[in-house]
Amino acid sequence: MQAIAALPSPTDAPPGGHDGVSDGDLLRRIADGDTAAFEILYRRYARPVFGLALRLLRDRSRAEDAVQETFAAIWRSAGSYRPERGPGAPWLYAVARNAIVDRARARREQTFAEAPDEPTAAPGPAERAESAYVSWRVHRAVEGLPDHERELVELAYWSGLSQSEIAEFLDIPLGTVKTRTRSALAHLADVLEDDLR
Amino acid sequence: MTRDFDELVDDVEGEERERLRRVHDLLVAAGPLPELTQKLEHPSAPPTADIVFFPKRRHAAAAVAAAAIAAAAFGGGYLVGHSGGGDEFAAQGVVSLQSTVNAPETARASIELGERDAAGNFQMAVTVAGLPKLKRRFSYYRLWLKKGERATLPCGDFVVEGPEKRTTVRFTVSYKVDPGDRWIVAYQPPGEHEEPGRILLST
Repeated sequence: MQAIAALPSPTDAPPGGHDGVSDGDLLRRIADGDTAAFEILYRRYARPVFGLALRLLRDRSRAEDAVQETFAAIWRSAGSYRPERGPGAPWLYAVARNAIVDRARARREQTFAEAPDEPTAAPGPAERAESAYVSWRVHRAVEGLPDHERELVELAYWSGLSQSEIAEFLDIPLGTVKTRTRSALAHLADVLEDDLR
Repeated sequence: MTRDFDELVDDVEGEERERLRRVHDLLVAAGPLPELTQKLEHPSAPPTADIVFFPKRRHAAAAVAAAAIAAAAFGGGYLVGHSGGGDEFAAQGVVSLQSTVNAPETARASIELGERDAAGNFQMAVTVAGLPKLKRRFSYYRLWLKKGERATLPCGDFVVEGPEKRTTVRFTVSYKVDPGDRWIVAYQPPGEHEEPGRILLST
């Protein structure tokens, strides 16, 4: 039960917040120079972009730089987003990935002379990119869940708590924890259908 | 951490159970998002269209020197297009544009702003590098001044020789430039004159 003390309150807003404004609307406002919209988008996406950068670059300092470059690119390029071509999240992923790949490329050029000759068992760039994309999609899908389901998924999978500890922490019956978990997984399965094939 | 699917979901059978198990596997593989580091806790101020103003009554050569100082101070990115010819252009300030996701990474532009005349007109010298030569007839690049949601105003059109060459063009406009305004350079396909086309550079 030690982890409970370190957890946020169940009523805390999740990272990024659920303010009801779509990514596309934020991008349109950013294109018009709206710094408040830029801040909202940053709150919403800084952690996913950082996670993506860490997975692809495996270097915290470079990942930090990539996050900053990504958001600078978003600021400059928001006017290029076309809502009729789809929602904002895939567009943001493409911008983030380009910024991160640019940084990875710069690193490869710097360290080319030191490249190992022997193949390693570590995942290659393509596998890391695939895994990073799936992770991005999973986290976006979790963000889209109703609050009571999202909170439960975060606690069940990423907090270190058992189901009984979650029930105690949220002050709800264990059966409700199980019902909500099942319902959350079903919702996620609907959203992530393409990734499940 | 709960990683035991059977503990989480113990009352679903058949295909649905397998579907939920695959989601479970994805959640476990995705892992938690990293906490932001101190450096990333707050967003960096977005790049602005701030004009770097020069001391008054400078001639072109002095403006070039001032721009170079500004470039050093602001981390580079300014292009200054004066060739040293006799055509005097007293720049009052300079603003830089960077490439968007639609343009080559190396594409850049700088706009040097001249002094406003008594009637309210002012000249601008726009120096562009890194944009490709356009192949479609009647297509061109256009500089726009974007004033929030209120208006997007054309400043002038140009073409370039190719990405390796710098191109400098002069425009005269009468617009008032307000804080928060942005300049953009867009590709205008044939027949598209009223709205910005694909945005390639932006402040």
